[in-house]
Amino acid sequence: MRNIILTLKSKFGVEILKEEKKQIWLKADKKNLLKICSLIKKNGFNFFSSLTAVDILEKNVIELIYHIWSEEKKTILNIKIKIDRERPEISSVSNVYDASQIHEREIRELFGVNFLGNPDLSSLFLEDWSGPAPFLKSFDWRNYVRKKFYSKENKRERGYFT
Amino acid sequence: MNLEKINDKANKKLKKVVKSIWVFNWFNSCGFTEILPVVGSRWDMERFGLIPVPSPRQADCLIIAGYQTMKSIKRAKLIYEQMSSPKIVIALGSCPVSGGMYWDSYNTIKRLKDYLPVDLYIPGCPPRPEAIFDGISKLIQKSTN
Amino acid sequence: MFNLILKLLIMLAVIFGSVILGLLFKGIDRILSAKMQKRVGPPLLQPFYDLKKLMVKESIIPRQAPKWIFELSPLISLAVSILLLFYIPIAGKSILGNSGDLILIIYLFIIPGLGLVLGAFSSNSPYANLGSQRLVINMIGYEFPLAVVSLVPVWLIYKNGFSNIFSLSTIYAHNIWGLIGPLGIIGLLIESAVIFIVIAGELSKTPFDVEAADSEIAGGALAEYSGRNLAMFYIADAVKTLAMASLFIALFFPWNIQSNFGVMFLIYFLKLFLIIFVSLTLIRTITSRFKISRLTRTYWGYITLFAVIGFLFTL
Repeated sequence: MRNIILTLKSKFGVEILKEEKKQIWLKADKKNLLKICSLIKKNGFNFFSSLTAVDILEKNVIELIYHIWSEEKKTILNIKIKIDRERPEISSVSNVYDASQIHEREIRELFGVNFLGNPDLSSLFLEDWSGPAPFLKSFDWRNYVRKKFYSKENKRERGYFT
Repeated sequence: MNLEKINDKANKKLKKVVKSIWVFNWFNSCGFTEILPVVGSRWDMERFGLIPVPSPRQADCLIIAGYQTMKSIKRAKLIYEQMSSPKIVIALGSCPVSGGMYWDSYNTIKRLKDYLPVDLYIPGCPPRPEAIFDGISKLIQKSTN
Repeated sequence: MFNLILKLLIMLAVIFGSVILGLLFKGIDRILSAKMQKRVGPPLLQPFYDLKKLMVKESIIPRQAPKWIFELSPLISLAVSILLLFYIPIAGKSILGNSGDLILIIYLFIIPGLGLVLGAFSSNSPYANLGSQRLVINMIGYEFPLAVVSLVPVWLIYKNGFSNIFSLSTIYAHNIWGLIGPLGIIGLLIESAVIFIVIAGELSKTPFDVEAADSEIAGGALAEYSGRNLAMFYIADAVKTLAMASLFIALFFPWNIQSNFGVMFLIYFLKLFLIIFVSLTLIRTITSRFKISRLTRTYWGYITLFAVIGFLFTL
């Protein structure tokens, strides 16, 4: 376990943020993602658990977190990667982990992050959607709903427009 | 209890089916949790003649219980068109009336009557089984007048 | 000539009477099943309201289904179910009794099920396809114990030297419970227990209702039927119940008070009620559905084993 972390530190410049009994938080760089994933997959981390995203509006970044579990070592690796918010793009890990294809599809639909190399990026929940990515903090959903569904001339719905 | 104004033609349609209404199993929202006890043993729905049936061709009532997203209202419309006439639609809960708890959500529908012709509204969030029975008995009384 | 007109009138009376009696038993079955589950059931005449509603609805025919098969199969099911009642003795008398015997009746029992298989195959839907295949498996299953059970009274009458062994009037005239010793009574009791299960299997009620599995295949064999065709299947199911129970009353429990027709019919009604209560309502409320992989093993393995053991006891 220790030598994998030391290899990652020396080769790719990975920082350790926090360490607990069964979880380790790492911080990595965007351009090293594919090589990190290939390396840890060979060493027992072969279960892709989940992929989440956090939208930080003040610092203008979106932070992606990859959760990968190893059955023989009983540890989860959480890898945090920050990407630019204006043009969110990152290479896809679906060649390495097959299960990550549908997680990246969900993040593309809700946050607007483009994954280069994913074979199928169609939408899961929102059919006929023509607005911006809904989970971003810059999306004013109340104004969008007021414009689309309600009208000010209707007497019962006038109260929504104050 | 608020009923839409039922005119003579709708009255005739109701009179034909009202003694034994077969309900289709389209239970896919959170209002469904209060239809389950109605099917079960304590608040029995079979004493009014209602049975749940598995196929839309055999059914003549579609209960929309709760919110419908833009994706699932298309499927509900397909099922409504597959049923054989005369058929009735019951809207359960406050979401089909005016949006309900999800009035400011970007993905749910706000008024069911823009998509399907509704015969009975039962408000509540979700309505208790006694309220459901009150609505159905009002439907039966209205059709036999 | 006058005999012929009388026979035709009696046939008409049997047709209408059997439909009404069958639907009445269906209503009684629903009320009793509801009371066993601690709830209030529907009113007694609920199947009549269901039938009246089904007659008023429009019948939708799928676009790519061959129309003549789709509309012919419920008619076949209903017609043959009513035809069966002309051959089976009801309260001592049967209309066409001398023209058909036991083997003809057992072959005629297959046809209502075949009507459903044909109708389900012709509706152009994958759910109905699955339902009809499962129904065929069910039919293959119950034929074996049914044949073994039906041969027991025939064998007993043959052993005691009577002639014309397959004719139903001969079987009805001799009480088979008086033709055997004490070992034979045990055998006949085992056979009676098997009969109740075979009736439930033939009429496709739980635990053998694999073809109308609600949650698994969305309606099964009747997935595309609506309106008048569905009403015909509904009535056919009710009348087949009557025919099946009447056959086993005629074979195994033929006792009756020799009095006028009204009293005999009342006792026949009570016997029908008893058989339908045990084999339909009781078994249906207590059990849940068999998996399709266990179904044939149950029929050809356990139930046939019990039937053959009972047969061996009566030898």
